[in-house]
Amino acid sequence: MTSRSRARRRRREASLGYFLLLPAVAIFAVFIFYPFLRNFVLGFYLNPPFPNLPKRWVGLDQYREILGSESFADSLKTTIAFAFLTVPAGIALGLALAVAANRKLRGIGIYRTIFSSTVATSVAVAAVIFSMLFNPIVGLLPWLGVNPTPPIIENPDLALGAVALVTVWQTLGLTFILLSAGLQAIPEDLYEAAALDGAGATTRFWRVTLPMLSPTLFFAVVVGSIHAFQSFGQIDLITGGGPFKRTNVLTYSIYSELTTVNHAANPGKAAVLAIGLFVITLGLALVQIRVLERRVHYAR
Amino acid sequence: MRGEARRWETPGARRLRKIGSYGILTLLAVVVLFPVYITVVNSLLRPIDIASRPPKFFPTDPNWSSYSEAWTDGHMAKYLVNSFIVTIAITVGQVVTAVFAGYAFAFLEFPFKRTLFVTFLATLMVPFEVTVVTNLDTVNALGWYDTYQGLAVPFLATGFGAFLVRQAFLQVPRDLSDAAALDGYGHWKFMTRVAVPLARPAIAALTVFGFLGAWNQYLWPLLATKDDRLRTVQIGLKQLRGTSLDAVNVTFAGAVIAVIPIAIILLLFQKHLVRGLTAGAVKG
Amino acid sequence: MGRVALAGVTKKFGDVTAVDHLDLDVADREFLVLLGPSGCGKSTALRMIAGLDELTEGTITIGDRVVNDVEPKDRDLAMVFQSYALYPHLTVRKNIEFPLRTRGIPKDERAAQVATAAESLGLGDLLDRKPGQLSGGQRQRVALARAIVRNPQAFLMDEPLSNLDAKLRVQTRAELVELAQRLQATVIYVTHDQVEAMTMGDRIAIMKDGVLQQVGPPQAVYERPENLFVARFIGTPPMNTIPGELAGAGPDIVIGVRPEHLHLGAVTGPGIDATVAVIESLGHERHVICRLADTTMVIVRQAIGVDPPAANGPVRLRYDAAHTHRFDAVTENRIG
Repeated sequence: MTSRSRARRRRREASLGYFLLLPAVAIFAVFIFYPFLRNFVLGFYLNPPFPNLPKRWVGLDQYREILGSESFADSLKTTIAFAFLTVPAGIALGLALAVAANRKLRGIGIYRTIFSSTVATSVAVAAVIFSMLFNPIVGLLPWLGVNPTPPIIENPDLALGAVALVTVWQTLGLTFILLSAGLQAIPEDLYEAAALDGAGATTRFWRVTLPMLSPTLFFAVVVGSIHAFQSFGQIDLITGGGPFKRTNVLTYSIYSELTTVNHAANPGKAAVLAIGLFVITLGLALVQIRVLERRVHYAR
Repeated sequence: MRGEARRWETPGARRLRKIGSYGILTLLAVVVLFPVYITVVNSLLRPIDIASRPPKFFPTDPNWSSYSEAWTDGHMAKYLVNSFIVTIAITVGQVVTAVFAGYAFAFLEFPFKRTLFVTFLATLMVPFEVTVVTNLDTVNALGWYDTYQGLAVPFLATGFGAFLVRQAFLQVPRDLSDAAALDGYGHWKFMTRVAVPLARPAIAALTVFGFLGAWNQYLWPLLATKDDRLRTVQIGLKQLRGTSLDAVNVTFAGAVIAVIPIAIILLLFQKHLVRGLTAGAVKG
Repeated sequence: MGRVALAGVTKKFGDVTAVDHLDLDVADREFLVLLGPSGCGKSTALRMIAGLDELTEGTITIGDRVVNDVEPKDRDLAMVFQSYALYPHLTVRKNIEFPLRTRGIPKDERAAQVATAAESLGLGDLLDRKPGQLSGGQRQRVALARAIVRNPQAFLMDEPLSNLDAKLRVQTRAELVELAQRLQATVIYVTHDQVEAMTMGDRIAIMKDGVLQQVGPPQAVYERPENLFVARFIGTPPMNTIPGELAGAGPDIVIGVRPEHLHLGAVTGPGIDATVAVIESLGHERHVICRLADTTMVIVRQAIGVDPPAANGPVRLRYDAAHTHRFDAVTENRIG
């Protein structure tokens, strides 16, 4: 009697639990896990150069071919270069803004709002604004003397940097908010103690601010890197992967395999590239977990 | 570093330091705001003036027609409506699924709970770009290409949201749920009348965060729609930019139109956004 | 009516037995205190009565009804939590009203009952505040009001005074007893504080490691502890326990003497040799803490009028055999 009614109560609680999880689980299953696993299957098939022909099973050959190809290596190099162009610069600028705004001055709220304002812009808005600013005819940068031939966004040496500049500006607000919150979490008495010990402003920045901020900085680096590896909109809008594939980052290469510009869509190839992208972001995430765990252990 | 009082400073030196601070802050503010400012200015200039050298940094004779052109000829009105529909659907969906899942993980016991929770966290490891290949097929197979549901449904649940709300629910003291059980509140009532009100900061953060993410989506709307009537603001901007340089003022106006709604929402909910953005960092 | 009975109640969390075959009968209108150190199982026992934890074995009866399978809300009990468990987003009024709303009581009646409960606890002016705006004592009273408004068969209280400061705790202690008498309520009260137990309970039930040690009226437990644990747990300062060898009673015995029954005598007379370690004056009395030959510490209670012994000097401890308690050194149970 007792055990039966107890079992009934348990069952009722469990079914409520499953019911509440069901919507999310259904979305995840259909739009995350199924597509994720299907990538591996798609990668086994070679897509024909023309639509309506049957796909051909090639097994791991396609993985070997694509992941070992020069174009993948180039795309990976471009993606990594893009991350190196955006992340350190973005964090340095965000930190500069955060430190500048971390003062008790009248009206500082207005400056904080301005510094975080770029979160209101999307990648597309930023890309459209800057592509106009880069334009040799209507743009301001050429007028300021930055007027190379070929023009900035068609220039193999400058295009990636230009896209990176847009990205840094667009993510500046987010970086600022993140680092500001980190700065404000540093206890005031640490600064007071340092000041009593005779530390000047510079010493305090290097000996108190930076070490105390290091977890937040680290988080910003990881989030920024993951963002960088997933960047797509600004490349599509500003350079379209060019010139000469100099801005053909991984996400853009996946996109070009799916859209039929100069050849039939190639889901097989896109799937293999997607797996490559996944492995890299997974690696970044694991590094984050590892480092965070270690930090937690230090704290104890 | 901070504005601590330096008693040994003369009033003059203190004032000088203050002016210096404002100077630096203002300079930085100008640099950050400049692209937005020039966008607004250019949207009010005639195309010929935009190309003039030296450039005009102030619209002496504002030309508002660019906005009406972007609004009607550029279909920005329609795009805005589409963006709002899709964004609101996604935001509401994300909040509801997150509250449901967060409640199950925080307050209920059932077999495979840990496994399911790990599964939710695992979704955070899969970037959306990795899933587009098949999602495009799925949306096509469902007949959802060029539909609102095709744009919204894949994003109705996030592992991040479920995690955020679960953490907030775990802060609700166990005594409260015990007291509610004694007072005769079942799970549904406890969730809606006690747990959700108490987790309001986290839910608000999730709302703003979800709204922002959905509004700014680019890759998926680009892939999953072709019909101009279904395109969102972000893709609309791509279209606008594609028009000739003769209408560059319209492109700038379009960019301003795309930013205004989100800017208003952010100004209203700035505090919640900060909490949402920093939730991951603070937790560690 | 308000009788609560536990028979063979056992709770296991995995391998750990939190409550071990607990038999307890709480009479209608009785104020029973469940006393024990933290982790002794007293809170778990209370939670099982409330229905918040399931029993592993045994039966719980409330009134005439076995409630093992009854939902917490249908047990007709009210509980006051250590943290008070007030809903922080609701006003005091809504908090007190909360248990009534779920019972489908009409609005007018609810308002009247809330007013009565609030009035009886002096909360009339605070009804529109939120818990965050109240002091600890006020919150505690809101929690009480929320419990009494339901007019339940029995009240369960889980350390309801432990979040109050010492002064307020003494005052509230008396108010709570008075309230229980006025309501003619059955109360099961959990605490780790033996002073609360002694002063509030009609009976106290002492638990240790999930096992009930002794049940009885406070004075009876004080005067006749059934084992060494109870002897040491009840009373401040605690009972002195002296190894049998030192007291001339043999190695198998432990002699227990309460501090008020130990006396300091001249070194020349009979008694147990000791050295004065510390003298603590409390104003109205003095505690002389002495070290025995085997380093056991004992406390002697001394009136202020008596001359204190010399610091660090030798003393001899005396006691009347009639005021000693004898325990088996191995089983720790009372002998005789």
